[in-house]
Amino acid sequence: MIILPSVVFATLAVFMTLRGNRKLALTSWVIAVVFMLGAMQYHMDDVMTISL
Amino acid sequence: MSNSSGSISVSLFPSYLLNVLALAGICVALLAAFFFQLVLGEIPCPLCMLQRIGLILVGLGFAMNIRFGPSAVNYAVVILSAMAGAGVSLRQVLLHIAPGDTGFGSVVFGYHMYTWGFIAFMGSIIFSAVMLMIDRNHMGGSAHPMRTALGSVLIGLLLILALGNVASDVLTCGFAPCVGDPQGYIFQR
Repeated sequence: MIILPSVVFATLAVFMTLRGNRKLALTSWVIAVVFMLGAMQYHMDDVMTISL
Repeated sequence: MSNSSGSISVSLFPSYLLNVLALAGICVALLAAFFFQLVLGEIPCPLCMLQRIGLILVGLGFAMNIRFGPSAVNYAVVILSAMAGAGVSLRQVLLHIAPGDTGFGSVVFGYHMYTWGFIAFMGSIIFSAVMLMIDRNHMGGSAHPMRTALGSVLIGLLLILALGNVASDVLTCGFAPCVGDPQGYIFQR
């Protein structure tokens, strides 16, 4: 669920590109990136074995 | 070649061809990911899925260049998407960089898939920077709509691969947050 909205909106953006609707494609891309950043924050929380 | 809708102007042809090649490369990378998942039975981890989404979004930028003509906004889509994807790849590289760690998944030509992902995202950023210089006199987005069979087929393939990733995500995680080390699809549990 955390990742699903991102891939759904990414798919919608590609579909809108194929349909020729650039504005909706860009809007879908923005939403997909926002959801992707949210999923990154949720999933990239493991403790690493190295010191940065 | 003319500049009218349905064909490509001579000056835009190198840009169009290079974006077609870049999109083809993205599609090959996504097909390789599905090969590892469906043929070799490697269930994608959450970070792997996020990298796939990064690849789809990078491919989207190339697809928009193909469909609507080159634009600085489209290259920005590629660069920003590649930066997000590279962040995920680098995180996964660092998770497995410690001595004795055998990494996650199969090795391809000496590197794991997430390392190849990082290389692909960095390559996309460099490619976009070079293309911004090559296309500097042809920017304008929808001013030069291009429709060719090859471009449409590749964008269609990207759409099919994106839909495949939606299905893969649902079958791996269902509608709950994905677990860090997936053991199987939801119907196998």
